[in-house]
Amino acid sequence: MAGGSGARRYAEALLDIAAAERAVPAYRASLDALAGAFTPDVVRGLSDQRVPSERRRAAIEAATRSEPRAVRAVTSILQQRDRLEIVPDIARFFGELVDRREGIVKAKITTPIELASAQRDELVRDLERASGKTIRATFAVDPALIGGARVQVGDRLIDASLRTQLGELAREMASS
Amino acid sequence: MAGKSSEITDIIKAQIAQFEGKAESVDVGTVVEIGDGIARIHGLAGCLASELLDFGHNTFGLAFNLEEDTVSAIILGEYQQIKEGDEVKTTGRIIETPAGDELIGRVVDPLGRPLDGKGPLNTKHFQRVDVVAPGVIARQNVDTPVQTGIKSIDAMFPIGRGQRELIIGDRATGKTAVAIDTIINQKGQDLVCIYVAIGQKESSVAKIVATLDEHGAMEHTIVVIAGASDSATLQYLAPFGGCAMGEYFRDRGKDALVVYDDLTKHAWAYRQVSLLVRRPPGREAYPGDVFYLHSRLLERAARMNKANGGGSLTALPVIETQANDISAYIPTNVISITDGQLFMEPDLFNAGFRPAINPGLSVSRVGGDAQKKIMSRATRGMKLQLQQYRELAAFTQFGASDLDKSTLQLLRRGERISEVLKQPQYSPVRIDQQVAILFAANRGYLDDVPKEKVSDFERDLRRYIETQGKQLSDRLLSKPDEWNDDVENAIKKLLEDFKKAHAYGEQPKAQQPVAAAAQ
Repeated sequence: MAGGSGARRYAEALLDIAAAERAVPAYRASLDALAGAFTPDVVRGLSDQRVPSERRRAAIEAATRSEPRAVRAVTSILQQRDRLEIVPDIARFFGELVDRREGIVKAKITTPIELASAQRDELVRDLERASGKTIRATFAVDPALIGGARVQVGDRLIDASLRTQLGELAREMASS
Repeated sequence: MAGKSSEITDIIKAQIAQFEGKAESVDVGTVVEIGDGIARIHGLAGCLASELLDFGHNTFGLAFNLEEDTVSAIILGEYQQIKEGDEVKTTGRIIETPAGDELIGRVVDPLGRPLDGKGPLNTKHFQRVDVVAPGVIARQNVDTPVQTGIKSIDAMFPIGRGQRELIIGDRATGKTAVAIDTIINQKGQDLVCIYVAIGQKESSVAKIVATLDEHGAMEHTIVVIAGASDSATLQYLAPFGGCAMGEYFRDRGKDALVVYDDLTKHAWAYRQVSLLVRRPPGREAYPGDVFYLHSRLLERAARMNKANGGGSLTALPVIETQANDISAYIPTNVISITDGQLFMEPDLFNAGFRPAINPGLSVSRVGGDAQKKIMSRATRGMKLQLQQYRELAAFTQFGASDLDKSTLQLLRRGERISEVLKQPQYSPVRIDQQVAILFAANRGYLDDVPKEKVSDFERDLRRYIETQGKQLSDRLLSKPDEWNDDVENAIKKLLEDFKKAHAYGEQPKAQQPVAAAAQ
């Protein structure tokens, strides 16, 4: 989580600008694309001291020509300060901040068997009703759960799997 | 066997029938950094301060720092099996330790897990480890003494039940010995003792436990150990755990005594975990709240009033100084928190004055209220005489030929008093015998006894009280708070009779030839 707080501040500033320009989705798409492009290898190449800084700046400017103005500014500031490696963090924080603004939470739903899409929709609807937020769910299958389901909404984990209940029963019997 | 196994099946069936499967709803986070007994966890948005965290594999941690998106936790016990990316759950619980009579005679770790191989504890009660101390309304002044059995302490620095008396001094000056003697002297009495060893060598702790066992003191004692090889987390929790075990007795109207040996190492352990979770360092790199750490611990020692059961928890914290420097950071902190200190001095220790309590720098600020009347009257003025003697002794050590009579008398008296205050380890003295011997020294009954004969005098006097002085001894023990001319005269008579029966006085010059003639 190195540079976490720095990346968060850049993300917050960008979100303010994006909101003012009414272009939040465009900024998000742009940042996500850049996060994918600025892999550690690329970052290393762009901060290589053997290449004249003029040329490196020109390369970044060329690469970000079609991006929103504020994103272009951020990348050139980061290049000057030699902190291009935090671009993926900025994109991630930006995404989280946008989700929070719009009341979207991520949910991870793990079940022992594959759910039918009707079941999935129903589960997500129930969770949305219970939490009062829009849920963006990812689904996973883990046969070790045996039965029931394990749902994680944000930091909250609701564990209704058979595995946990059996473990609990074992613990209770051992302690009594 | 067949009958037994079907019984077991029935029990299991009943338990399964009773079991209610509930969906468990907890906060979760993931470990992002682990090492040095510290875990940084991402997530856990709903985590509470000091909450117990479940790392799986039966490993738990304590939420220490709550930050914007991470929680820093200190891990209790082993942490090798925890990996980056592991899931951590909140438990909604605060750390607890078992408490109760079942713990007496046991050696446990700060979380009450037995270490002595004597099987499980089977305690029914759990006590929170970190609680707020009782308030002013629930307390009262100390009014009952803790008899340490150590003459110099019981006479000059009496400790009351509910008091906090610091034992401070350099290494190897007999700090632990004072605490252990005090524990040994509680044998067959109503004071439950808890000895908390923090960051000590396991070998020294084993020796202490063996000593307590040998003197039959484990029957009323709990030993809590967080040794030098245990994690800093356990060392940090040890005194709080021991205190919680003592509070169980305090809150049930009983009396308990807890020894924290020592709080210097406790401060080190706390400094370590605080620096690892990146709390800002202050003076000597201790965190800013190291004073509060000890004040909130020692404040839990209290004498409760009648309405609150009338129990008490006495604390004897130990602090080790470096080169006699009591003005270092942690010593001054703890001195200012406690109700007095026993200052152990290496010079006295090396000169053979053991226990090596420095009478000038030691004080008991509240214990006087608790001292038994027979003791306070028998030793009245003794501390002053001793102080004057020590001042004079330093002044006259380069030649004392031309001193006036009163000065010589003062030196003679002081020498006898200091001699009487010497006491070997593991041999506590009962209060009635203390009163007799201290009265003798204080009122000049020893002035004509040669210095080197004082310990023989004491030994024989104690034996004499056991036999001839039974009546007086019973009177002193049954009414320790009554002192009148009758008692005083009875003690005087006993001493005079004893001196007649035993020839300790410096023999008159004429006696030598007489003895020779008789041969």
